[in-house]
Amino acid sequence: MTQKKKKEKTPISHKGVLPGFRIEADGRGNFLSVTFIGIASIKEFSNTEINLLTKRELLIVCGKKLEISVFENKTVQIQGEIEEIKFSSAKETRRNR
Amino acid sequence: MKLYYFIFGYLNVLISGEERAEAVTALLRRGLTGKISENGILRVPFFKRKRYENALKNISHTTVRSGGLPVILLNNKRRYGIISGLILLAAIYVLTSFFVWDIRITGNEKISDTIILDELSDVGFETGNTWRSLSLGEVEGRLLEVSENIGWININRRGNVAYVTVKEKAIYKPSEEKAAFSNVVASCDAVIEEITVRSGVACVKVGDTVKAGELLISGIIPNELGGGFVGADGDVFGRVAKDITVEIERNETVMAYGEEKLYKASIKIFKLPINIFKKYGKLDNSCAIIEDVKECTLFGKYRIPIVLERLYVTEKTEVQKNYTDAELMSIASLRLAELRFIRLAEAELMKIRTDGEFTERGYRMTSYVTVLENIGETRSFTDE
Repeated sequence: MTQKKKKEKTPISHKGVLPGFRIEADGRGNFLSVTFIGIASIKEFSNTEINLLTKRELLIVCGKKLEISVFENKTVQIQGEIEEIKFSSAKETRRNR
Repeated sequence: MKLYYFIFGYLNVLISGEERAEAVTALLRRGLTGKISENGILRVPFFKRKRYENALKNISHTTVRSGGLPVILLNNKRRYGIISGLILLAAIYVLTSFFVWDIRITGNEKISDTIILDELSDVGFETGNTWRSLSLGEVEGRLLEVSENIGWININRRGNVAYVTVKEKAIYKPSEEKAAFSNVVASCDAVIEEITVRSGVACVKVGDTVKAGELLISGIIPNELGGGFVGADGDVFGRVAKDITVEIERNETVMAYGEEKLYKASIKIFKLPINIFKKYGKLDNSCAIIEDVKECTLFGKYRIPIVLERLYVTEKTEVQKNYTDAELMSIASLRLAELRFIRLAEAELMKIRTDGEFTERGYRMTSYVTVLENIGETRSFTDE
């Protein structure tokens, strides 16, 4: 008797995404649009501060009237009056806490 | 994007401040797209709302607003009439936009619209054709190859109407080939009223009476005028007396037609016929068929691609007719008028007198006319 193979549903693959992140700025005066690729999760989200976690880094984006758009392939775009982008290692952040 | 959301529908979902980060992470992990604005509103596509619901099931959120076409239809789902009417309207509009609705022609002066439409139809372009099956450039090229009337054509599409601009061919008639040496002679007995010589020497003058065959313009040039031979050419108008007669027999076999009965009726929308009425039965030679085709128009001006076709049948029989005197005179008068129109088409009528008399067989009517016409006829030297 032939055995029927069941098709297993595989979760969405993120293998194609490059590790790390990229910033693309599209500046129109005070209003910036910054795209981050390779984001694993969002730690904090408010109008003035957004914390993004990649595999190894923590990105902190500070500003005013911040909005966030989510795209496929771990891509996140932040728009608003961005004043500051800080980088810190994700391990350090966990240790500090 | 606003149009996309209007057509496909959307939900505005409010996410509380503390859980926004969690919401974004949930979307990221599930590969869903979305934007959370500064006031915490996430716009969700209507058709994907279930997926987003699953992603946000552990996060407190409320739907604050919904909009777009699907939402409107859903809210009015019990109003079957409006919905089906809208859907039908959209379907009709989309389907009919595939077809050529009307062809409007400009630029023609001597040739009628009907002739141009027939020529376009011969090359495969007419109302009811689908736009996709046509290449306007090819149609233009094919028409110019086969048309004897059109020298230039341009077809533009505006909406579902084809605007055709044409320029007619300038008709060039080369002068008839004349024999190298010829004379102009009289074609019938006449009195000369006017003579114009373009080539040759006039042999008659105004007022002369000529007989059929008499020389009017000579192709032989006298020595005192240089000598030689030419092809005589000119116009010689003469006053000519003619008789035109018709005779009607008292006993005549004519075709009599019975009452017209509707045999078939159909409506053609674009090229699709919809039969409304048809009477079944065989038609034989004893019946005459009359076809009545009516095109529908808007405000009597703009054609729409709906045609009403009706077929009538009437019985025809040969009947022996015995005319009364009054009928004989009336028929003779009509037929004589038709004959006069044909025979005198290129002549100017100067005088007419009409007489009629009853004969053994029926009635004879004669018109005695005097006309002014060109009596010159070219005859080459070799013909004489």
